[in-house]
Amino acid sequence: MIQILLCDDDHQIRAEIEKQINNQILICQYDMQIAESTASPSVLLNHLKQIKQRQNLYFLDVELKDPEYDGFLLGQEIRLTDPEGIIVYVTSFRDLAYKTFQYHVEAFDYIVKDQPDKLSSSIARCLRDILDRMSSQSASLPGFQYFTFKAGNSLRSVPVDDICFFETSPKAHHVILHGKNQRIEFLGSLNDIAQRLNDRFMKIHRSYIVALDKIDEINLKHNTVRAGGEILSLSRKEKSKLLERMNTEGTFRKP
Amino acid sequence: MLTGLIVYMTASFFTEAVIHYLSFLILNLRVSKPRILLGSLAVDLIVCPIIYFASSYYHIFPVPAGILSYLLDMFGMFINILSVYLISRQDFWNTAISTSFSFFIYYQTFLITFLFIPEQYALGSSANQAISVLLLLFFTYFIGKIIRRLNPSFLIVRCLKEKKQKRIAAGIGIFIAGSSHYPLLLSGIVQEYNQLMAVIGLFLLFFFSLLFHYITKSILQSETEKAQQQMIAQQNTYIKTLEEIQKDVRLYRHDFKNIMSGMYLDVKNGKTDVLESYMKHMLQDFDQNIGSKIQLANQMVHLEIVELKSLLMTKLAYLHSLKIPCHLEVLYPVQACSMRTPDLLRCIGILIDNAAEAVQKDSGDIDIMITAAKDETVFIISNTAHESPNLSMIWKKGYSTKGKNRGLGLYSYQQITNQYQNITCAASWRNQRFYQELRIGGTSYDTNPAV
Repeated sequence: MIQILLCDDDHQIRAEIEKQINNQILICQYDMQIAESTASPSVLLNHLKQIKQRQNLYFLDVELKDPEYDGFLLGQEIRLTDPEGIIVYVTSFRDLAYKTFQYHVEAFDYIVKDQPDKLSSSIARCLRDILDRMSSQSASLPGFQYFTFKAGNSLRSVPVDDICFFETSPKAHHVILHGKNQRIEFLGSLNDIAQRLNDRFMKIHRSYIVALDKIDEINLKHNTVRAGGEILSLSRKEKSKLLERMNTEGTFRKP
Repeated sequence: MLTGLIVYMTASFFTEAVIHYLSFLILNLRVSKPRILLGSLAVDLIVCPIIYFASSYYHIFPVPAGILSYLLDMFGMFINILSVYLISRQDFWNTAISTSFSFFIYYQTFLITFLFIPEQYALGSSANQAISVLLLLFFTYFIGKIIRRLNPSFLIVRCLKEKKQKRIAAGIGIFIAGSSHYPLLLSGIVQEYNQLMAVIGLFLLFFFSLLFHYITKSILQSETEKAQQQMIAQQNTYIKTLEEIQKDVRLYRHDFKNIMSGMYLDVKNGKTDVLESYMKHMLQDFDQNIGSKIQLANQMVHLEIVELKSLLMTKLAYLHSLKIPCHLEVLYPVQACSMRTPDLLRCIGILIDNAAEAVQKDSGDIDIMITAAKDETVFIISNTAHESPNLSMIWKKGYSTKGKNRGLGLYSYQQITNQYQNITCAASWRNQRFYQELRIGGTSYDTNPAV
């Protein structure tokens, strides 16, 4: 059952949203329930800490008057504990900085609350879209693994299958993740990362960790490895280990 | 007597050649060797007999020997300047600067060769002239290499744009060129050796600092002038946008009155369906016309770094002129950024220019999002991209999808951001959009070089 958590400090609006959601659950027989409905962000966060379940559904007011959290910061905080949850924003502003919310909090949708008659239809549409996405996701991605890390204040998760290699950055204590269509720099060390990764990855040099199945070529003469379109150094110490791994796994085609 | 003159003339032929060679190097001109040698020969033939005879018969001149030798050297230098000027056909003051400095370099090198001459120096002695010339050529070869590295012509051309400054620089150059004579010249006035050295040192220091003052002053002046002009232009565009909003609001107010009276009639007659479509139309109209401009102005208000606001204003005006749709979001007030402002402007400028270039190629739009929350400011510039850019190549110097002499943008972007320990960058492509993220953390910056 999907847990729904609600946060809006306008009691009237919150009651209305609550009512509409419950109506939809009844009408469409959704497997959902409202687990928390509150005016205070900290109550919501506490509740989230207590329940074990993740991938919840959140309805958050953008213009919260809490001294510590507004909608954006609350969304960011929720992302740290529930990276795959679904966040829907409720706002009275038409010109909401929606793209910022989409990028940083991965907001799923937003509902404008200043038109009460439209609220019911928007909530109905929103819940339908959410269920569509959840079903398509769980069908196509069984046991999907993510590599999660903190980039600044926000949590990033990258599908492990998309990662090509990690590289030390020219900046001290920074690492660059090279993935399929992305390149992200973050604070971390290669040794810590190596411990968190599964055995599909191998540290081949003091500055590189590579995904074995992403290696396109090993140049034994110059001690380099080509992966993701870039040339990585291969330390002499790790060379034989790498070759052994590649041969046993049968992924390496001899040139 | 005659052999002395011939020895001296042969030796000083090399001297003139060295001065010519160094002058052209400083001017960064490629002049063929025969022209250098011919020019030097001409100068040699004019200057040497005069200098040789004058210094041999110095007692018949009414001036003290020290001053005479100084004047003779200066005379030689002027003939050299003329010759370099005639050969190079460059700006006269530029040649004066370069030749006087090469004369200075030559003279110091020449004095160093004294160290290796076993007996008292004499103009007509073939042995010591031979040693001196050989060493001079040897040293000049290395000095030439250094000059090529330093590329001083760039400095001369860039720093000294105004004639007045060029003249002053040339004057100081000529003054410094004769510096080796000053101990002798001044020894007549200042008797005590220590005092003499101090006075000369002070003078040279003073004139050198004067030279640097003039060079840097003109750079700073032109740079601040340019920055101010840019600032004014940017402020003007900002004011223009605000005025446009005001104009639109006035227009709208006018329309509003008409529409309201129309609606009043509709209500009176009970035509609610007409009223509904009317209002719907009105709301849409508002969003399209003023709404988007007000939205932009509202976002701009949040930018409290004036330079950043100006930059974005210009860039948005530029995008507007290219008919590229652009959307700006500034969620929280941006008051300060832990990055030096010029660096920040440079980086944001590069990212926006790159996005504009990409979108121009195959139509699309640009989003700029600035979020300053919890000790962290994040800039995101994103553009429509139907396929992912080559993420391993775009950072390389000179890589560009648009031919040669381009592709420095992201390379310098990376060079700048790599200096900051508190900044991380990310680039990604998903859902038909390319995102560049610049994340500036912390409340102060730390630019220690990377370990």
